[in-house]
Amino acid sequence: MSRLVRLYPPGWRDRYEAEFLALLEDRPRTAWDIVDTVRGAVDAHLNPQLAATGLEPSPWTHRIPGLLALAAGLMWSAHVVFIAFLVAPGQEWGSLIVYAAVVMLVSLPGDYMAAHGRQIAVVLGAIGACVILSALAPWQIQSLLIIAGYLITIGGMLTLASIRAGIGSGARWRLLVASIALPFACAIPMAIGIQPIGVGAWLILLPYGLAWVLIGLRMAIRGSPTIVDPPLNPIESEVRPA
Amino acid sequence: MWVLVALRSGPHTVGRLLDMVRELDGRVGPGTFYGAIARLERLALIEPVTNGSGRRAYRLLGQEGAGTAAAGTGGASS
Repeated sequence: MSRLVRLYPPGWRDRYEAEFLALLEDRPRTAWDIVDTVRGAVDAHLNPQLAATGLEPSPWTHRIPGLLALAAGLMWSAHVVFIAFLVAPGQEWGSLIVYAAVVMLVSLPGDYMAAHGRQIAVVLGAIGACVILSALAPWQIQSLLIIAGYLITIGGMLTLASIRAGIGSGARWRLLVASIALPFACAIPMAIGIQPIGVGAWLILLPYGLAWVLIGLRMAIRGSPTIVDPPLNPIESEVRPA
Repeated sequence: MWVLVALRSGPHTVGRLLDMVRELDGRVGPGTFYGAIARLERLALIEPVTNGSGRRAYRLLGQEGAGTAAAGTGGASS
């Protein structure tokens, strides 16, 4: 059915695709539904004004998660550049990166936390396992576990934020590779001593901040409900089974 | 528009709304239903709302104006 929805014009899909697919998944599909979906696509193409953007006034609270993610990404990126070029070696540890990570985390909650609780539990469980095992493991393995925990933390947060921003699976993987996997691969020569650690060591963190800027912009433009958005009329719970 | 008639009782999720429209107007497919939703939204007769769980719903933009419009467009459930 999702393939049929691709028949609709992009503007229509931006506006209605998610709820349209949710509606179709909630009830058994019939041949008539398929025919009518195609008919609706033709209608949407013949009447492009129906999908004109700006129909839905998005409450300002829906911009909060995106603005938080954007602020966190900018804070992270700016501080990485600051440390790389303007701070004397050995003075880096008064870092805003920790605060940026907290702001990233804060941008995630809301209804979204309930909808993606399983993914969040997996990420937290993996981080906890790394912490416990790194305390028990021989010292030779500890650094690997610490690095794994770090990658799971930043990769998990980025994945969850990109899901919330409505980024598709393929694009999400590309974002993870470009902002985390490739930079860390570039850092391996420094880690094993082939290449001296220099300015570039901090710049490997820059793509991660830029990824959050991208996600934040997308979330701010599209809007996303937050925990401060009140639930609708109680009648909303009155959803009959299909 | 049967959508407007259904919404006179208050906001409804799209699934519930489609069920109510089908009760009023028989077989209405999802494409037809969303064509009606888009038109009514374009005419500023209805507006989307989102509840705490992120579920999309619709309600009449103004009860009096929407009620008049519903009466005026009666059976044309697009």
